[in-house]
Amino acid sequence: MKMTKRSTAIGAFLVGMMILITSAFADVMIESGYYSLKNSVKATMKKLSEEVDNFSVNVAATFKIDDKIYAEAEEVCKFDMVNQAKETIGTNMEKGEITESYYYADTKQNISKDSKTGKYYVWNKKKNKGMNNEDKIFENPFEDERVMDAEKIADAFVGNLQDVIEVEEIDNKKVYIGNLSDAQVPSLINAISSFIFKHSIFDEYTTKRMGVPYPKSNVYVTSISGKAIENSDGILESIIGSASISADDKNGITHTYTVEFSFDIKDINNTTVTPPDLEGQEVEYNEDSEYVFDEKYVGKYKNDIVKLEHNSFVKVGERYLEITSVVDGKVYGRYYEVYNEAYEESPVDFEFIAEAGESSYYSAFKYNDKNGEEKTGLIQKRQGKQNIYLLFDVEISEDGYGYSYLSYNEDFDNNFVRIFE
Amino acid sequence: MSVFKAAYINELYKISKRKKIMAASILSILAVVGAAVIVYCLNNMVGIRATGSSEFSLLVLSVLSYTLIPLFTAFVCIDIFSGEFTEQTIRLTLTRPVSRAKVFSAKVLAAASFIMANLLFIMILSTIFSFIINGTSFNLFKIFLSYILEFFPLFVFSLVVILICNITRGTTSAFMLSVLVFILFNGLEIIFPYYKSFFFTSTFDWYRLFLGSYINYYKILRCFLILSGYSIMLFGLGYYLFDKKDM
Repeated sequence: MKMTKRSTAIGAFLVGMMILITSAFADVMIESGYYSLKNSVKATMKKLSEEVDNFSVNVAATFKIDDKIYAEAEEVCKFDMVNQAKETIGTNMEKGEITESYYYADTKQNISKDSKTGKYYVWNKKKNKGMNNEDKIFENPFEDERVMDAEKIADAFVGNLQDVIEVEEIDNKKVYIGNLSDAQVPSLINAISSFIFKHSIFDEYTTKRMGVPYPKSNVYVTSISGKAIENSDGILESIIGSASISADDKNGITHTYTVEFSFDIKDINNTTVTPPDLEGQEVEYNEDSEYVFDEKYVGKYKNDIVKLEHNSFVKVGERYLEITSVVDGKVYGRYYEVYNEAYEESPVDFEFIAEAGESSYYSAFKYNDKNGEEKTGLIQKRQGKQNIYLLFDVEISEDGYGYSYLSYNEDFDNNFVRIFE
Repeated sequence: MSVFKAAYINELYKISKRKKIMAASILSILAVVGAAVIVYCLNNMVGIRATGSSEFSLLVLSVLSYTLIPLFTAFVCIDIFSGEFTEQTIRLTLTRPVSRAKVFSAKVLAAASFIMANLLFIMILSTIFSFIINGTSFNLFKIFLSYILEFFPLFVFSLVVILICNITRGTTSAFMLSVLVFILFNGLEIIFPYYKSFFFTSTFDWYRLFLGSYINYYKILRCFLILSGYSIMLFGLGYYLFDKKDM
């Protein structure tokens, strides 16, 4: 009898294990709607960035309060991956007023249009640095390390919500449908989204500008829904979605704020991107839209050396930055300090040659500091500004695009003002 | 059947005499009150309603089902099994005219009853607080369904703890190992999200599958089979070890 009970126990164990393994394997093999949709998004991005020659994207968004439209935006983007050209035509409607925008970019020029005056602005690119990531008009976001990490985090925390995405096959197309009710939205996601909505997206200033009620209290996500269609080539050709947030205004009246958006990818390998015809148009030409220095920056720049003494600001000297010449983007210059006689500080004085590296946003130079140590400094200009930004003791990142401070002197004023004589 | 009933009532009586039940009740009340205060403050000070009408009970469930409820489930299961072996009171239980199979089943049923009672207690408590905070109508069916469904993964966890109790000798090692397994399964689930179906902890929020407008019946069936597979397997193995265990 004892043996029988033990055999039954072992039998139960084996049966249970079999049910568990087969069900769990089936669950792994039957891809959830979430994973299926995610793979579809990844495949679409890969195909668009690597395989297709050209395509168009239509993006539209509508903002409603209690079903009344308050703002609408629509953008048509055309991408020519072969010639690396992109054209964007946008229309915005806010409080009944419509504004339009136009932007064109290719490897040689950037063109924008002022919708009010109809005037075109053309920036001719000075140098063609070849194809690096900065120049590409469309990149696969899933190759970015941050996106890859975010994907892993999303996978881990999506939990059983991944199965609320329904997958259907209609006419050789895969249709993904997902609806989250207020009970399904996890409380943490609800709290964070509501906080961002109230304080960043729809803050008091924005609501005042738009003339709509400010969401003061009881802010919470009521529903999130979406639908995506994947065509027979495995490309997501259409995505529509909406999110609703309920909130009370200052008078205690409850409103439903809804954002609806749509995203359509169309005309794959059937899109032509051409620069606008500027014949007979009012056009302003500018050289180089980037941040590389040119001859107009030759001159003298200065700022004051100021110290805080006995709770008052005291000027103790001046810092000077002289750009003596600019040849092929190379900046030749001198930096020196002049202290008032009463202050026995040893002034810094050196000459430098600054050169733009991988990134054209700054030009880097080597200099020796007060202790004779070799350090790296940077000079930057800002678009349309005559002044120069100077940074000392920085480290250029390995890829050459970014930099970080090695030491930071809070008494040092980085902004140097042009002296017009 | 009457022998089994007597053994079950005996186990329930023993559980009811434990101080841990009082501790579980007090901590559950404190947790629900704490959550209610946080939600109330969030709404009145920041203006954000962290939970809607029926969602406060679900928020409480989602937090406590990963913390307090498994913790006290582990305590109770360890008391029922390891505790009795350590205190040698298991001899008294087994000298009664009742088979080991019935004693084991009665103990498992008593642990299951504790889980269900704990869930229902928290459900009633959180629903009352939900009414105080939000004061609006709420979907009682959704709340009830969620709490009932949460019983199944917690029952599987109790069987895991029972299995550990029958492997280890002391109560401390059983508790430590149970906590470790729980954390490990949750960790593995995050590290290998694609294979999470193999870990019973991935079903701890399976009640959410029932709450939306779209109900994925096939997924629910698979989850149910996974939980059933776990339950049968752990019950069989647990009984085998319990039967083999020396006094």
